[in-house]
Amino acid sequence: MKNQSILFLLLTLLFSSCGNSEEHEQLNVQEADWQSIEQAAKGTTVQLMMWQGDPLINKYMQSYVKPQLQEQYGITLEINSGQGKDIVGLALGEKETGKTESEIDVAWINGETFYQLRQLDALYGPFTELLPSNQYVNWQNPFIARDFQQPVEGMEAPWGNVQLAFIYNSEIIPTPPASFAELETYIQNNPGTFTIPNEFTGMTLLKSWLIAQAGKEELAGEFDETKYKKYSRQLWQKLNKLKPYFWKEGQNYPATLSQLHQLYANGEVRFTFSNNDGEVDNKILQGVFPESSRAYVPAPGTIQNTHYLGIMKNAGNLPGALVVINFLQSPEAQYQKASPQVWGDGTVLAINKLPVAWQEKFNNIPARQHAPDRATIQKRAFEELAPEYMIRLYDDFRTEVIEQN
Amino acid sequence: MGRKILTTILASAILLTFLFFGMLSVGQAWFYPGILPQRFSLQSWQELLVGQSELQEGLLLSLVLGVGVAILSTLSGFVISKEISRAKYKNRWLLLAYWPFVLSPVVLAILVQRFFLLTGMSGEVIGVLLGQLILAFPFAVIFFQSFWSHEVLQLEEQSQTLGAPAAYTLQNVLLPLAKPLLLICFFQTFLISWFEYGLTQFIGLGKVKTLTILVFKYVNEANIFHAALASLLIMLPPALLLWLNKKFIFRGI
Amino acid sequence: MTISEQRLSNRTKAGAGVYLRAVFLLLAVLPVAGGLLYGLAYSFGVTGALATGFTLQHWQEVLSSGALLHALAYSLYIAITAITTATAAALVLTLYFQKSLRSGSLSYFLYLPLTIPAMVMGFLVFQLLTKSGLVSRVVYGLGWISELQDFPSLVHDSLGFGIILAHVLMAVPFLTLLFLAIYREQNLEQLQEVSTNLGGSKSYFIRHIAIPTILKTAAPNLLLYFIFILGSYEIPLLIGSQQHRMVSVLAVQKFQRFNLLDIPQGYAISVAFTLFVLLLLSISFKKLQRHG
Repeated sequence: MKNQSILFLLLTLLFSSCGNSEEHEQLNVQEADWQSIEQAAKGTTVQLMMWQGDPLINKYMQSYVKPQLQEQYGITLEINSGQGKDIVGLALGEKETGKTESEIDVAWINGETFYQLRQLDALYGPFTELLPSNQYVNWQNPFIARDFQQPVEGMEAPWGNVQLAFIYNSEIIPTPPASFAELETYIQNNPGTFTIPNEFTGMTLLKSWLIAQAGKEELAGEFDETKYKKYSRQLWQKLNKLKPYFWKEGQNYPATLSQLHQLYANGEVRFTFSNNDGEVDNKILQGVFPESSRAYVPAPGTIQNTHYLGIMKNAGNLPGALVVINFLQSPEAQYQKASPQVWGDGTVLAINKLPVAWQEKFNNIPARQHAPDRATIQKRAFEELAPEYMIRLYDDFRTEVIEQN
Repeated sequence: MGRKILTTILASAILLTFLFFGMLSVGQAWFYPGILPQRFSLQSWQELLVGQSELQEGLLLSLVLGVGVAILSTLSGFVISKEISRAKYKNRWLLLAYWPFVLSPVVLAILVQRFFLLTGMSGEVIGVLLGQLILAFPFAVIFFQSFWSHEVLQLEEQSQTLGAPAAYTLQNVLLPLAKPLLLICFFQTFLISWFEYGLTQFIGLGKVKTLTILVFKYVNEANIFHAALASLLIMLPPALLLWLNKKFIFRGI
Repeated sequence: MTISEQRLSNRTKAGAGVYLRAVFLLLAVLPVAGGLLYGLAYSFGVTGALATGFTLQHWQEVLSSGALLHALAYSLYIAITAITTATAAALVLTLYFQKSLRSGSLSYFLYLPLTIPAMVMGFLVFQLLTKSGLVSRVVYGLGWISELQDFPSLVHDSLGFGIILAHVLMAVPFLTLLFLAIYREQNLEQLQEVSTNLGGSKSYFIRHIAIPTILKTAAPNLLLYFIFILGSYEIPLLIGSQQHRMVSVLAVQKFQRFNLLDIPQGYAISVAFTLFVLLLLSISFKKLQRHG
């Protein structure tokens, strides 16, 4: 008897959650007006999946976005931890198992994730035209309208705009190498103090280096095998020549950005990098980086990158997803986010399109203390390359540099 | 004398580890070559324990999951272990029990992830519970093998031959005999769940945030002060169990 | 009870037993077996969102690139070195520090490291041994090195020193406690007395009686621990090298790369590793049983 009841219990457990994939009628958001979308979203829960690797970003979401959404729209926002690769993995898994309702509604994505999700046909859209905030978005800016050379076409909504920056300690290096060319000499003169993280930011650095070699326009547009081969070979030759002067003689590379940040904070290496040009300020505030840390962009420039919010094709809560994204794009949320004390993320709104009161506010955002001025580095901004470049660089950096002895 | 010095060194090395974590958890600005941080503050503790409730929720979730996994696997392991111990090809059955247990949890997670997606259990606490059961249950089965010795089985048979009903035998003969082992198994399977990372991450999809998942997150946040604090929290309950009874943490063979 | 009655009761028991065995198969065997089959199908291109139909291409890529064999060899190197070192250290502690381990502060402290999970151990070893870690700071403070670059490279190193150390630190307390328990249960203390009475020296006893007995009794546990290190993930992820990857790290990387077309390779690696471990397990269990 006892045995059977245990068996029964286990079976119940096993199948208890299988039944809850009931279909419910969703509002046709493409036809509905904004008010009825807000109405339909009221009282619902929205599942957002995002990278949670930064305490300040987490704090912004936790103590500003969540309460505001609850208060203004009656929406409960649930934040799930997961980077691009996890989102793609989930979308792939759901597609393969034929799920009709996704575990998540909204995802924080950028170029390579966007590319993969579109490969899988896992994104809902176009939807950006439905959002009231969309009128303020700076679509004229090519850095926003194109993501990794792919037209966005309303399939993802811009959220923030950042640029790759070098971070260094001004007490140790009073004048950092002003360009990629000078960086080479610097590395040779200071062996053991420079390395490239073998992850997303590191690849963005390599891409910037590639563009610095090839020239701004040369690699624009779709992936070009011959051009890639030509310029990447030059880059690998250069890196292999510098390799003996890298940290650990180039025998090893940090696997995550956080490791590099720690190596930098402790003075083991002299440079770290950030895809967010404002990060240096908030890392100093947290006591993670030394006070004398500064960020800059070497000539001829680095990659500027916009990050976006996408909606999953099988999202269970479309109205909620739209309202959440609309709020995150709104002047108030964007303004809050741009302050260096909060996050220091560049806005995607065109300031001149905003109501005058907001224009003033945005123009008076507390100055960045240790990060470079946005207007200055804009002149040194490269557009992202087609996603295949990233995939190839990632593979080839391993085979052509890391594994070469 | 030399022996005494060595044991003292060993003991203090172990203690210092915990002190080191304690120091980092209240530190800020720990730059080379300072051995101590430049500033001390309770900010991490305050933020994590008072401000954000993430850590409290993680703690609660880990406890609930741990207790659930422990109860289910101990009970089912106890009953099924008996059945296996009487099986004709006992060793072959046991070998099967080692399968999930020896596989790398991440590799196992990769292989079973689709099943959980298919049944809608991924991203749910129930899915993670079942996933951890895949590890804890075979452990319990193997664990109780030593209990179902020839003598115990004979004792049970005697009791039944004498006319005692099965329930009586269970309550008055088997359970008292097994009580210490049941308790140990309970805590050890609790710990399997408590420390589990691979399956929890892959099946929980980042939605089921146990304490272990949070520790990993903090380690990757490049904020060593938060990571140290979370590490302390994760080591605390096992240390407490240890203080209650060493056997809860470790059992020889 | 007559014989026929007994048979009858056995049969009814067998009836309930079938359910129990079914539960056992469902929970312990089905996940691994089902996962393996799915992984096999995926790696041959039979299933998956981007599948193109049956192909050997993914297996060929995995095998020809040498990445899997390399990772397997590296994992074996790490696991063998770590388990050997840890066993040796635990034997020394068990055989020469019996008294202090049984009573006194160490008898409690020795258990404490068992509360440290792999991930925290990785974090700890990194914070202690990286060039700017605690040990380096102490050595610098003592004036033994003049700048942090002089400190040897102990984590993220090609030899896997950091990974091995972390595993050894995790294994030594466990193995020491295991050996102590065996020492007690196998009555080695009395055996030692007998051996001494017969004129055997302590070293003779240790070499010819104690060590063989302990190792033989602990063999299944040592094997399991070895396999556990073989498949470890968190430690090599945190403090491993980028040049040499352990199998679990390699498999997960194939899954979480920017290239979706790598995923079948990830499955191929997972399946290959699983089969390898199961093979290792069955062979050594047969051997252990024959000797035991």
